[in-house]
Amino acid sequence: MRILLVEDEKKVASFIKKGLAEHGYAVDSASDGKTGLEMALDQIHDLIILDINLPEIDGLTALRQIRAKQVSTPVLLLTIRATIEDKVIGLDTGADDYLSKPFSFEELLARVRALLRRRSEVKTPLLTLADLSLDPASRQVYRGGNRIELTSKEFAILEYFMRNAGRVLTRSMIINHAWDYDFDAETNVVDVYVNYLRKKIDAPPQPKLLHTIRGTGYVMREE
Amino acid sequence: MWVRSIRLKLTFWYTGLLTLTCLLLGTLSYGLLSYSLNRDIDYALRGIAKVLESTVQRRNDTMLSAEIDDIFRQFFGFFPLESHIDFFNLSGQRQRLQSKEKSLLEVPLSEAALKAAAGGQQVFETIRGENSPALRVLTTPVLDNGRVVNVVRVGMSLENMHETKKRFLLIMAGLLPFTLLLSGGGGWLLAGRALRPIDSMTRSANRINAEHLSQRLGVSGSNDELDRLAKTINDMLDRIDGAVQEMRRFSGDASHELQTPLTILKGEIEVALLKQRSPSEYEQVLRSSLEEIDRINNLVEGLLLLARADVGALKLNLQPVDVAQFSRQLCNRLQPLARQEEIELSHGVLSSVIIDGDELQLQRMLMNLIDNGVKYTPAGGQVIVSVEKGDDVAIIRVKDSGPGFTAEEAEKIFERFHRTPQARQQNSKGSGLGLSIARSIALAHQGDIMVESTPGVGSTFSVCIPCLKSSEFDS
Repeated sequence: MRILLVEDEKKVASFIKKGLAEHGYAVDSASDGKTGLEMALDQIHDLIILDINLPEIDGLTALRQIRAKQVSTPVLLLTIRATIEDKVIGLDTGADDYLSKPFSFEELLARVRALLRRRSEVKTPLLTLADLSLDPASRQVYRGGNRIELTSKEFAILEYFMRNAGRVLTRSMIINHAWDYDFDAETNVVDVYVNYLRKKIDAPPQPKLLHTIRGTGYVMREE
Repeated sequence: MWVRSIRLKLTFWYTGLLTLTCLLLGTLSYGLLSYSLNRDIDYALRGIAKVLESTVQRRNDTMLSAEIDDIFRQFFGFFPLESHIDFFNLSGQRQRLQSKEKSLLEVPLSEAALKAAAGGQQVFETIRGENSPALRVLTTPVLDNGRVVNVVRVGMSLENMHETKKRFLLIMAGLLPFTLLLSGGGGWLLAGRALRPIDSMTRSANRINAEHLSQRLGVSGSNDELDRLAKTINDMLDRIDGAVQEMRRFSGDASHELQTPLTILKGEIEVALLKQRSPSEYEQVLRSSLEEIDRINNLVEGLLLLARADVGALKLNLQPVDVAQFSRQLCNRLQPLARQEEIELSHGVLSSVIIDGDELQLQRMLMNLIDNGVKYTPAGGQVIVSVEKGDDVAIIRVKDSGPGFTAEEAEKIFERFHRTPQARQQNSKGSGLGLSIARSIALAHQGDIMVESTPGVGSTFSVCIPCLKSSEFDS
């Protein structure tokens, strides 16, 4: 899951990015409204965390322009002065949720999960496919009752697969959702990670869930 | 409720005053009526007496009743029914009168009247009988060649007059309650009409509270008393609204400035606690936390200082201070910090000027100005501090080669939490209070801070503080 963070306070941006990255999210950050708006219009993010007080273009104006360009990426607004009016204006402008500073990081994570869930095909908090299950909140993965330990990156890729079960995902789609801009994309890195993942979740004699579609990419489905 | 009571009060006053006026007018009318009636009777008596007197003189004889009737008809066109006529000789004995039907007065001629008549004087008397109605009598002498020969007494009953006066009183007494009722009702209506705009003003004033201070009372434009009151209240509301908005902006800014370091503290620590980390990572978090705590501390101290200065409670430990001396010390102390930012901090001419001031606060003021210069001047620039003596003032100048600002911006830079757009982008560390604090300190020293700036060239902040005359310093 790839998140765009638009926040001008360097330290705030830094800890949010760090915390989210440690939870397996790929985070791109922008420190002003203009850059944030340009990045949002690329439409490669699954969620935008947007501060309201921003230089160049303030958060609400940026949000209005994002929605005007028909970009439907969920937006979580962050702000300090959160009166009821502020919240109403923010939500009416097109935000999906609102969090006022200072906030608890756990709450930020929960809201991020809720917003991502709203967007995915699967609406339940627990993602399941056959006897494979993934809990985004506790970050635990089980296959046939056995707990499987995954690295953040493996987890992020598996979550993306499970949210899009049955859909063929190209290598560049996977890169866009599991890595941020700072990563110099080389497509074979996807193959490497998919192989790691396969060894952990699709270990024989269990039925195979992760399939290769030659020349295109991968798909996760029950056969 | 208070409207009701004013209405009632007004009505009472109105009715009371009107009652008093009616009573006064009635009393006066009654007095005038009595006076006028009495005068008419006296006038009539005198007329009758005169006729009788002249007749007696001419005829030199006692007269006949028929003749008297004729005489009266001749003079008055009627014969007054209740008039009584008596003739007396000079010793007070009644002369016989031929008239049979005319009742004679039972009352004898009074001594005083007889005496006066004998002396040629007319005398009016009011005689109150015990059973009969009161009488008004005129005793007049009949002269013959200047000699008093006879006395004529003419009397008239006052019963009619009393009747008239009684009727007048009755009419007045009957009219008074009616008038009172009318005036009371009228007063109530008038007071209600006069107070109705106040009632509506109260209702609209009730709708105005801290949340809706932008509402105003309706002004009709008639410029009457109530209109002026509404305008006065509106002007007052404008001032309160301005003050409340200023206060709201200030507390909003203050909370914003406090929430940012709190967000960082909370967030960084929470993220650090998500999992086990290396000691160097913990150390980094602790250092950052310390930085944020200092930021909060500075902000709270600054706010406290400003709050004290606002209410005039900024305690200054006043002593003769050499401006040049502490300016030099401060420059030397801040030079390493400026060097870190690649800014050359130096001092120009530092003339020795003694002022009466609090050295600690003055240092804080100058430090804020230098800090401001260093913060907003791009790397490679310079900040120069100089001190000179003007007319009875010490002038401290802090000149920087920063981006400068427009005259429009210059008005705002001393406002609390104000940051120029460049400042917002370049550095988020400043609280936006430094220059306000510097100015508050200058003001507390009876001085001020001026600023000149040319965009793209730089800015010069000049602090002027009254200095001690050398004689004052010596003493």
